[in-house]
Amino acid sequence: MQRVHLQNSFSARLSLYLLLVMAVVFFVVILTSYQSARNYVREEAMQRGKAALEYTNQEISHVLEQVESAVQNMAWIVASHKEDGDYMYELTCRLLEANPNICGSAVAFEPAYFPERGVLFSPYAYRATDGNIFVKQLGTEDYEYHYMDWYQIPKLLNKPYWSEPYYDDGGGEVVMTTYSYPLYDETGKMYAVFTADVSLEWFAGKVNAIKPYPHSTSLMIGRGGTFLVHDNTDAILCETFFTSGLALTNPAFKQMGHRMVNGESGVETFEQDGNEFYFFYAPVKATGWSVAVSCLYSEIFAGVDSMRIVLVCIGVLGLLLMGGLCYYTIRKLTNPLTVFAGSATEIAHGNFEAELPVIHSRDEMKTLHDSFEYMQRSLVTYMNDLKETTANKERIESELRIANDIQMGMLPKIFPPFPEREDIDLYANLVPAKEVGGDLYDFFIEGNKFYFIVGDVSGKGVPASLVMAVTCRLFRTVASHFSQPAEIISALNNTLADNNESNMFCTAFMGILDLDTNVLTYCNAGHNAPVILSPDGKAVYMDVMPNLPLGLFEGFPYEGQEISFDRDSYMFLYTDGVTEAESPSKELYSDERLLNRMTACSKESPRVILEEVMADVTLHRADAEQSDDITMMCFHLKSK
Amino acid sequence: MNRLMNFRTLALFLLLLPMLAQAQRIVFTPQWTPQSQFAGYYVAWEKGFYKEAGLDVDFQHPSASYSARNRLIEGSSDIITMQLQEALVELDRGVEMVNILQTSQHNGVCIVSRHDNIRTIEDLRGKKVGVWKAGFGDLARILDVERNLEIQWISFIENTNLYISGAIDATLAMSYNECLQIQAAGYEDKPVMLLLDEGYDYPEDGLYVSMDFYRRYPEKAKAFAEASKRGWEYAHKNPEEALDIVMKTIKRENLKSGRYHQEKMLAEILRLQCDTPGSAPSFELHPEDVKKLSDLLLKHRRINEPVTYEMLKGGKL
Repeated sequence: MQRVHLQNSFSARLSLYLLLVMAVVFFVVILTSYQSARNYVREEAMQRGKAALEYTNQEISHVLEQVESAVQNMAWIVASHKEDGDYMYELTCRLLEANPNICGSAVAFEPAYFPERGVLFSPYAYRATDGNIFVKQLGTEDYEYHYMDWYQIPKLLNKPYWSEPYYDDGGGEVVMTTYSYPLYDETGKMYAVFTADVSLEWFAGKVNAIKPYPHSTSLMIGRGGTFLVHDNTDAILCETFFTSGLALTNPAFKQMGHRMVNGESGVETFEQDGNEFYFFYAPVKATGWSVAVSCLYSEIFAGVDSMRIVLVCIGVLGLLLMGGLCYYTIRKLTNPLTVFAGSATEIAHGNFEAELPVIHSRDEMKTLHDSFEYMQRSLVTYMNDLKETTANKERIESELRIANDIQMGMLPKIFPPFPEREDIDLYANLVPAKEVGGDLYDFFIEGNKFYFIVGDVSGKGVPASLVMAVTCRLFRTVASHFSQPAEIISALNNTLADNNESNMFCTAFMGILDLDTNVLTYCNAGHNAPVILSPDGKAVYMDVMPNLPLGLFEGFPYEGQEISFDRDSYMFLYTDGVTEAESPSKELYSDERLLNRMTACSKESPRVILEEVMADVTLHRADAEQSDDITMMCFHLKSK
Repeated sequence: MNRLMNFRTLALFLLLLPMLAQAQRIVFTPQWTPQSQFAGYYVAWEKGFYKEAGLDVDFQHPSASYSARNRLIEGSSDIITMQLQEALVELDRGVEMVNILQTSQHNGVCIVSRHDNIRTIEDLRGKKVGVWKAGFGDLARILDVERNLEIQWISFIENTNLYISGAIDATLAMSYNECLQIQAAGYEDKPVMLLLDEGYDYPEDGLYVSMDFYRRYPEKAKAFAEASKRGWEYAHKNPEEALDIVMKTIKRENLKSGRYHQEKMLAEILRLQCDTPGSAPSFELHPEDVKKLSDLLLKHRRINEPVTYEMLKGGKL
């Protein structure tokens, strides 16, 4: 069995096309579902990130509000005992006892408020690392609190103030922030700042616990971008958001830092070290801090990405299976086509009995099978008919070839015909359009008289050839009995017209040239006027009476004519196959062109003249088929 | 007997050894805790330049209540760093000390505006402007008087948060320190006015040795100055390594400061040490600078008598 390459296999190609379409559909489905899933996950990540920040900020704000309330609620007691400096130790202790979130509290008085106590007087209670509460006077030569942010800024701003977190190396050894509440006397003059310290440790724990995703990192920055919470502890209180990490190389990230310290919230996308991540941020309004968390794309979309990989794997496997199944099924369905192809090849090689595949189904394949079967039967019949027809045709062609030989044999074919004579030269030719033709020519010399005839039987083929044969034989027979061409023509006419039931006729030009006197007698029977090429090279059509063609009317009175035929003149006789030869554009060769051709050939031999005219006619006809027999005869009466 | 004598000699030598060693030691105190402002000295110590000069240098940093000046006066430090303007005032007050090396050649004091509409010195009229409690702001106060600006000076120890909170309209800052801190807090686009652009370009930091030490150990004082100069020159040529040494010192002192800030500070400090941009630092105190500054301080009664170059160099007291 012939091997079929995959690219030439219908089933393989169809399977491939189907597979391609299915693959495109599959990938569009995968892509669409992946995008949808990704959008959903993105939305979910947004919600999760924002919610985590919001929740943490609420917790932080809640603690800050508690501290603010505790200080504000106790402020009136401080005010009512402002002249009792020692009482402030007790008050600050009470504040710490009542509020576990507060790790230190001071009532820091203005310089020399109690002159007897010196410039610096600030009763301070603080929670030691063991949890016990101790008191001390905060202001010392090394700690001039009047120049501390927590004192100076609320004083200058005339409003409560949450200090930027700072490292407390005076007692707590932790990073803390201080809420400062300025106290004013009756005259509106500030006399002290009431403070509460809160350790940043609790806030840091809350911020570090923001984990929307397992590897999310969170941070908190102060009003100046200083890191308050950061996974790199060395950066805390040392670096700012604007002078570290991505902000140094990415202006957009730096700009976002400005939005953060300006109290805005949002989410933005950045890329660092080839990792894309979402950066969520939201402010802690009470303090002006900003809490942020970054979530890696790779972590957020890990589930979707792995789902995509699984889907693609399943899809590719499915496509391969489907492709295989398609190929198998289509191949099974189209397998008879291969057998049909083999059968068709066998039939083409002549085996019309080639075996066809057995089709059990009633589908298009069955129709094809029936058509093949019918074709086989039709071909057998047709081939038998063709054989018979071909045999008949060959027989007819053979007969026609014989008829052609016979017909040609009736015409003089030896040139020069009168080699012993020096006064006349002659050449003639007949080219039939079909196997046999209706044109004729003949000539002979008897008693120094040159008899000649050129004729054209109506119609073509076998009937015309029969009339031609009869006319040729009659001319030879009749010519010897009459001396005038008109008599000869009349005799030919009467014989042909007799019992001419098929109404065939023959045009003819017949002449007798007396080679002694140069007198030419002739008679025309509806034939083309011959051309006379005079010694001076001038070609003219002979003046001829038309008369009727031979065989039409018995007893028609043909009239002869006579001229003196000059020595060194030529006579050119022809049939209408010459002047009516058609070019491919149906243009006739024409009488005029013949005259011109003749003029150009003066002084040549009759053979050359005929060949020149024939070549010119062939040139004119070009590729067009020869439509009529062409007969030409030319003789030259030479000078003595 | 001889052996007994030898033993006694050895015992006496061992007894005197700590005293001899103590006499060799130099206590050096820069103006403040470790930072790039003093990079050259840490480099000289770390690279062994002091040791090579036969010096045993002990770095003792000041605190808020025990400044470098007080340490020098009380004799607990032999050599300190000090600004030229402060040195002139202290000399006028009778503190005996000698300038043995002048590191800074230009004034680094600047005024950083909190508001965009304060862009020139004139815009500061009547505004609240932060000033160091510890000094360094005297030239700005003189400018205030000379221009009759009536600035409300707000003393501070740390000014970054004061500035950020908006409690002040502008603040004095060192171009190599507070200015950088403010810019690092996201205020990098705020207007900065340099005092040197206003005609107050005087050298700042220099090395000062107590007159007592200078008289007793003139060679050591000179050797310390030379080794310190080597340290600074090394820092100029190897700023990255100098920065590493500064950061190492900061860590050793258990302090917190970011590398980014120290890097910027070092670059600015090194720039201020060059007479002209790109030139090699001379580490020389120029008499004409001393004369100009002395005249200014005398005019504004910061000093009572002119202080001369020779006085600073220990030649004439």
